[in-house]
Amino acid sequence: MVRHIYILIVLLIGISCSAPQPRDVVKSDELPEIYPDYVGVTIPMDIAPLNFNMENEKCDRVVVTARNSRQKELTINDTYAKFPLDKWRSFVGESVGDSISVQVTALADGRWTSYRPFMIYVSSDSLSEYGLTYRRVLPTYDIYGIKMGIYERNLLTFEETPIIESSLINKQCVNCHVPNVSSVEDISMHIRGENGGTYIKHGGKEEMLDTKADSLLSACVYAYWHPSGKYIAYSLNTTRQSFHIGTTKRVEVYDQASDIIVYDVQKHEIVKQPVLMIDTVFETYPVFSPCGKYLYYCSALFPEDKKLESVRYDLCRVSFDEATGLVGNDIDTLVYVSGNGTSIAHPRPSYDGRYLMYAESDYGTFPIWHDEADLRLLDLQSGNIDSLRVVNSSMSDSYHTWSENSRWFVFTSRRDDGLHTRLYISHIDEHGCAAKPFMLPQENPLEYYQSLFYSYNTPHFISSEITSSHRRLYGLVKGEHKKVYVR
Amino acid sequence: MVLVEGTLRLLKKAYIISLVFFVAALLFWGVCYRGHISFAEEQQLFLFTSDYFQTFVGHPGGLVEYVGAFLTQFFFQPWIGALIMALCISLVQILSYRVLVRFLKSYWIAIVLSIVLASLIWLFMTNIYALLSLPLSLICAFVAMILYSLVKRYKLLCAIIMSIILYYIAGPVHFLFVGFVICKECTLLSSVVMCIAAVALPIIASFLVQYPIIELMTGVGYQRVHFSVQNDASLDDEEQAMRYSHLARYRRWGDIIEMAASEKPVDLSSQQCLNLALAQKGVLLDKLFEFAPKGVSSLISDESDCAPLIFPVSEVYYHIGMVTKSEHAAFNSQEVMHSFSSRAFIRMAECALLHGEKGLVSKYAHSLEKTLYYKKWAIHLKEAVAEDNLLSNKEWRTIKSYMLNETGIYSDEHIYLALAKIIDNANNAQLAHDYLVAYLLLKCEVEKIEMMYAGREDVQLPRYVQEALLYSWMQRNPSLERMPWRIENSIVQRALSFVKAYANRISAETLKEKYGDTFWYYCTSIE
Repeated sequence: MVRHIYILIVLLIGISCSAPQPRDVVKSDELPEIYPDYVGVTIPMDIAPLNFNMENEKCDRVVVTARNSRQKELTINDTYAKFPLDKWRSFVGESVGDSISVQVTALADGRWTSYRPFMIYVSSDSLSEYGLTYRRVLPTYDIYGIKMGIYERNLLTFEETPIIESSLINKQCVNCHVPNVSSVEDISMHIRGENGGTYIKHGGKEEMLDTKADSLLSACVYAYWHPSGKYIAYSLNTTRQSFHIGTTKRVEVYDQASDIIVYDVQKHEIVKQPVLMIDTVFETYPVFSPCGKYLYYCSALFPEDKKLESVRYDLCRVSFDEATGLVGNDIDTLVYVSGNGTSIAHPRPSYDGRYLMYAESDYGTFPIWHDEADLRLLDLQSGNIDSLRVVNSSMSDSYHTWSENSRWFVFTSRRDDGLHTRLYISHIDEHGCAAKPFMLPQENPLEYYQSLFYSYNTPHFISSEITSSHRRLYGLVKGEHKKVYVR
Repeated sequence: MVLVEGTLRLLKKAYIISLVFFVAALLFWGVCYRGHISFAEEQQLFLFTSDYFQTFVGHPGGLVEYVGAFLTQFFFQPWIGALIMALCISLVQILSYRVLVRFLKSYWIAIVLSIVLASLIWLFMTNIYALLSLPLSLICAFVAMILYSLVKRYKLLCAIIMSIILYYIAGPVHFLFVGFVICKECTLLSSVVMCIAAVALPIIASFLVQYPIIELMTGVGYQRVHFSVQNDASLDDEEQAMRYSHLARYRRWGDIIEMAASEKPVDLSSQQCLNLALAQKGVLLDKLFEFAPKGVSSLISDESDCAPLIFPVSEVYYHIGMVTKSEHAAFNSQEVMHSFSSRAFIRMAECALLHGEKGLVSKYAHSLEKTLYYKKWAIHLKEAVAEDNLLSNKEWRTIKSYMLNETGIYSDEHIYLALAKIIDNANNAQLAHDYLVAYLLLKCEVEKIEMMYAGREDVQLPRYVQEALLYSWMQRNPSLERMPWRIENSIVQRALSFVKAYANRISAETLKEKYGDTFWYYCTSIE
């Protein structure tokens, strides 16, 4: 008797807890309006579940069935599309090189609607990196009081860990952290303000540098590692900000002057580059070619009218001698856009040496605050430039970096709400065709991104977890900073 | 004699003193310092979400900070805020008395010390950066001491466990508890063990959370800003500025002008609020110099005498139609106070709405919907977005009709160019017009005022415009004949007597006393 009562109780609990199943379903020819927009995106197999929400706030329940061509299925019935981590991983693992058809049936206003299925493509190119690092900062402009920080994110899960937060260092600004390709053994990162300096991790050693010198324009700013790990190219910028007074164009970040130097990591020596330190020219965003023999950078002439809107950068290249740490004297202009009324920023060559991606905007050096800024892909073999229509949006798209196998790139975009930059990852196939990017997955994306008032910037892929402890970083910041020599 | 003895007997009853102390605190916060109460509320954004809760629980003292933030949201209603504040301060007094009286065995010393301690907390809470978490932490510490007094067995073990829990919940007030245990037990073993435990806790925490060890020793969240911030304003100026700011927030323009009549605004931000109120009531150009303005900064300036009180300039930018600047100032007000703020969120939502940034509006509304006091407003906003009826509100509609809608960068010195642009673009931008004229008056640029009023000879001009035009005319012409503008006779007579007094070099005080509210005095005194 008692046993029967137990069974009855279990059954009752089971019935009361079971999820409502679709009934009297209305078929719709439309695609479901989901957030983030994962319709037709290409993903790697090694990515966290692409959970999504219905845009319709009145939606109480969704039944989502993902099916691959091998007829494997993954079905969930929840308040939003929340795929279990392990099931997602095995399902996507079995769908590599295949497409996944996603059927969404949603309950809103007491009515079930079944939408037209959409596809998610699982690339056979892996994204073998462990994760991403990025800075999360408020999209404010000139005061930094609320906590910001540099974080790492495991791409297989939703786990995010702080590397350094401004709460540790008296709310000072932390920025421009750059690994060598995706190695966590070679890292450059700046801390601004009191006790500010440049943190360098290389060859198992960590140190804090004081890179200010009378003969230099400023402390080091935009960084890029030489593939050998022996050098870092830095720009030196006297950066200023001005604020727009009307419309949604908010901030203008610009340089009053800029130069490029190369830092010799082993000798603690800054090698001045006379060719890249011309007074009448802005030189910025230096990056080494994957072979290490060239340095790409952006260059603009000081405009005669001294107007911000007249400063436009072209993409240039100069040879680099690894033995001396010096660049050659002959400058090649690879992409000339200044005459056409646009400007180039953030050049980043793919690590296979085939492409170079950059951001193009109407003028200036800081496309992040330019709605018209878009990414471009330069084929270094053919010289063709792809406008990456499938990747770009009507809002600012910029600050991109490549995965080590050069098949994926991550970039920042303001397309989500117009103000806060979010991270998007896109695939490029062997023919150089880019796929529709997908927003960095989150466990409950709508709730997460709607509640997040920070912007993501300076994203980089990393091959493994960063092991430096924040206490060690704190000690380095508070301790004596190593003075660099200037050659 | 009988009366004195009776009074002393009465005073010997601790609750009477506590009650008097409570009533005094309640009246102080409810009557004298209600500006601080409102300010504390608008500088935070308490959300009923698990994510918000999680931002607190990750560091020592976070739980008490969360409770403090929870209680602070009720400061929206100043008398409830004053009640909560008075209760917290009084509880510190009552509980510290309970602990001290057992130790000291002297009623009077215990009561005096408890009142001194509670008064110090009272004083601390008048600080613009103070948070309710400090009195709450002290309450926790004293409760822990009282509970510990009840422990009869395994006292050392209990003390260690209680220290750990106390440090996690309330932060480094565990040092007080440890001190209490050491004093109470008076044994070498307990002293050594408790000292080690007290110091070890912040050190262990420094491995787990990203705060400097000094903050983990002194409290992460007892105040908003840990290091002294330049603040030139006195406590009274701050309170006054907070009241003006609060009234400006709720568009109580009449109340601002009424307040200014009895309490002249001292701080720049107070003057900005007053001038905005005068402009809203259409009397800015008639009353501008009656309140001793400090130059153009009294109209618009991103600076403030008191660093945290920079929000009023956001109000000014918003109402005159420089919406992007208003949003910028709102952003900065949050950064200065190191926390998200309900007032800034509302302003940023309004700015996004005026710019037609629906996504952003929804985002702000999404958060505000999770608050207690702004939920209704957020739902109204969300409905406006959903129905594509963003300008359902009269104020939004009006500002939208004249707001500056062109890109452009203007430094503070050239803000008048932006005002001119607003006036050029919209014929209903009365506020911007008055601000431009006031700006020129405060800069004593009379030629530009003459140009603005050329061809408006038959119009009844505002008082200070008349004074400026007269000032300019009298400097260039021997008589007032053929003067094109209609100048009231009383103004002419006063000008003539001012010229005479000025020429006779009467004392500066007399000049200020007699003519301090005139444009002429202002111009001649800044020259």
